[in-house]
Amino acid sequence: MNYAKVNGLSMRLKHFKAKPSWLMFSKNNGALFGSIILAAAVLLAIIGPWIAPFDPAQQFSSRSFHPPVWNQGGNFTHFLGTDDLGRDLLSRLLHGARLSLFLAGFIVLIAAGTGVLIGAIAALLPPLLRSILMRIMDLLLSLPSLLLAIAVVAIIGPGLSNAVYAVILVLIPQFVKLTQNSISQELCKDYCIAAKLDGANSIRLLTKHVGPNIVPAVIVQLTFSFSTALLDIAALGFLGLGAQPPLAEWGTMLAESRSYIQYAPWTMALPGLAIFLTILSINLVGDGLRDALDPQLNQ
Amino acid sequence: MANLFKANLLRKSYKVSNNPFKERHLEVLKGASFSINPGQTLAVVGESGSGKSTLARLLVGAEKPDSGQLFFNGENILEDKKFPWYKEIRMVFQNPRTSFNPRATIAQILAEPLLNAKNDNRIQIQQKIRQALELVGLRSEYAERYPHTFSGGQRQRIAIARALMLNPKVIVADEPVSALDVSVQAQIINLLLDLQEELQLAYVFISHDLGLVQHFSDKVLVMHKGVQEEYGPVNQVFSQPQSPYTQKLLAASAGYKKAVKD
Repeated sequence: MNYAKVNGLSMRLKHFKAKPSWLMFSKNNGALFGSIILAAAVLLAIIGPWIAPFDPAQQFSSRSFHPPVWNQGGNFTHFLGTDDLGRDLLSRLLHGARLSLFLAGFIVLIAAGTGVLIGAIAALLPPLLRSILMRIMDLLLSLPSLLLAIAVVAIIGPGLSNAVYAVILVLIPQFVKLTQNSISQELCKDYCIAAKLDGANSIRLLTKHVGPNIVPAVIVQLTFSFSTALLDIAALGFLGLGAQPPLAEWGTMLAESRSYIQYAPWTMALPGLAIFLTILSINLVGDGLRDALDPQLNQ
Repeated sequence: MANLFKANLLRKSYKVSNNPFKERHLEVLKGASFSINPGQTLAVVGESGSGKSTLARLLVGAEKPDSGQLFFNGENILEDKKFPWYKEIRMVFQNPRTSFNPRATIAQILAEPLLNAKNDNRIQIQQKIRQALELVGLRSEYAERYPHTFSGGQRQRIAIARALMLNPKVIVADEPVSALDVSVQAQIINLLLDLQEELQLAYVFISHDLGLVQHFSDKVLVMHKGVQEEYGPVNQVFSQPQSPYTQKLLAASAGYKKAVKD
């Protein structure tokens, strides 16, 4: 065999093959836009409470419904205006960003960890038990996530922590299904049969061989679940089932300003815009990741 | 002396309906028997769906037969729950594109059987990986690369290296060259022949290329719809086929060759 030639070929192959996922991702304008917005949101969530001009609960009773800076009568003291009780909206939005993003992240991590673990165990169960478990998951998935979350909150009572439990519970089945499906798909592939014939036991097969190959799918699901969690927490807050009023939470802020939409539209528009932009950016990032990590599109 | 590897009336059926009240089974292998010794090659030929690949999976222990016996060095290995299949009887897959973990380097792929056998330390494993790559005619630097950076022929060499890692006695190759270019096929076949001579390996070679089989093997087992049509030394089967199916198969192959020549 001509080694030099083979080596030359391999060098060229390396050149062509080097189309890493991040390159695919950065070529996707939507995903790039989404990740910029998301990065800004995360940054604001982290540093927000320090740069917020006021305490989010501080009431300036003489300055209720102070308009934002671009409206007539607005000034830079209350850049985004104030709400019905004279609380500074910018401060409340910044504190709300930390709350919403932190909660959504927490929810998604717990839900993903639990879901992936249950899914992996399900893949190891005998077929009958697995079928029973997966049908239960199907049942949970067949209900709209918000409806299920409302039902859970209705049972365990309203409040932010209960809303968090409810959303975690709602998100788990998605991860269980995804993990179990991906694992059983991978297990049929030749490389898994080869690993079994190499003497790998089931635990090693799942952790060393199948695991790395389903990580991309789980990452993509993480981003979509993150946006679901954010939206569901806001929706529960809006319905009065999640975060309770004095707390600066985007959904709760929406609900509080509902009655003043005609008189002071910014009180509702601004929290709505915050929710909208964050969800949009996460979904764009999720789409980008899905396209970049999908091996079939990548080849 | 007992044969190295011997199969006796292996049968296998698959459930084709999931209805618990109306179970239906499809018998894909209806009694296959053969025996081989070190340095010998048994070719299993037959058309698609004749049960060749099922037989391969039974022989490497990926699945258990419904009935029949499998002897390795005279020992019934289907009875022995602790028999280390992966050390003695190894498989080379048909498609070199799907038989490697896409996220593992060649070194990780080749180390897998060694890690599971737990006999070597890290330095020994690295040494064995280098030796195995050189044995199949690849550079040892390739160890750090990923499978998709190799051509089909190179990947099949890596598959052979993986099969050889634990010094097995038997290699079951399920159409190892059918996914390759004709020019590369010859290289891989020659590699297999060289390795057989050097290591006294016994091959079970599954194929539908009769010309290749004639050139390559000592014994041949003809299968048709799960039934073992004919079994014997390759010269005897090819010159005086007893079963009508074998005669038809040979005639078809000869006709094809003639058509290609014309």
